[in-house]
Amino acid sequence: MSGYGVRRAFGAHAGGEMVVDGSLNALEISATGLAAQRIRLNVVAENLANAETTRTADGGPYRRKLVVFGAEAADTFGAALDAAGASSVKVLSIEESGEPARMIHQPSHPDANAEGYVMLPNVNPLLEMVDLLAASRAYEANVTAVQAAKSMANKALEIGR
Amino acid sequence: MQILFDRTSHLLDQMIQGTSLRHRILAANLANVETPGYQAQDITFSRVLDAAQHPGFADPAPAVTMKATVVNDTETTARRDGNTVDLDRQMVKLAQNTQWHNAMLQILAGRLATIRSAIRDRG
Repeated sequence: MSGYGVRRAFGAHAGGEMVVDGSLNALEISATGLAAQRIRLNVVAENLANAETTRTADGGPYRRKLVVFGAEAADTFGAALDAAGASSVKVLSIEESGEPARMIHQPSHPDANAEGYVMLPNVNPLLEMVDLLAASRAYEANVTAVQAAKSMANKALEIGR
Repeated sequence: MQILFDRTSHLLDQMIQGTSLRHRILAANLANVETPGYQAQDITFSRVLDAAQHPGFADPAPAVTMKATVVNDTETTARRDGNTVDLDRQMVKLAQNTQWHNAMLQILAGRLATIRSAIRDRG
């Protein structure tokens, strides 16, 4: 076989490269998932910690915070033609829940109003625990994807041995 | 050197690239498991006869090429938030794909080991 033939054979493969300028590889996509779920865990922890907070800098009781996720294309425009479709995840915003504050009758509380009612945060600990569990499971799923990617890379490294 | 530049090596190379691409898509699904409205994706592989001649191939028959296409995973119904990622299905696919990828690399490594033992001139 001629040297030219060898070059052509390899050249044909180079066009099929998956990781091109600026595009995220599988590990980086999983990393965005890990980061997003960790932010969600932090927000859940904040909600639980402030479940009874009656005074905030904005005045009034603490308001439950919610994380909004959005998908973001992981490919640059040029690479999208080659390896289309994969999306990383991004935290678009952390928004305050619009649910009304809980009103508890507790006249002895320093923040009680004229009728003896206290405005407590609109945090439901039960909902927060469910959210905590879901975020934790989603985090673990991304960890598994990272481990699979590592196993695939390690297997490829074995070829040189 | 037919063993290095034959159709089997070509197919193995394509399968390894395909499973790498599929892992990337599955990782993206898992990253977006809680993203409202996200549509789960997968890869389908199809066999196409490679019209382009590969001068490197000693084999005169046309090469068969695996074509990987990104498609929407329509086998699961959307949750109330419009997300179609089913965590259990995705984990099974992830495990399957990793096994396939590693199996292809194992076969490729075996072929290279054969060549290496021939070069060393000892059994």
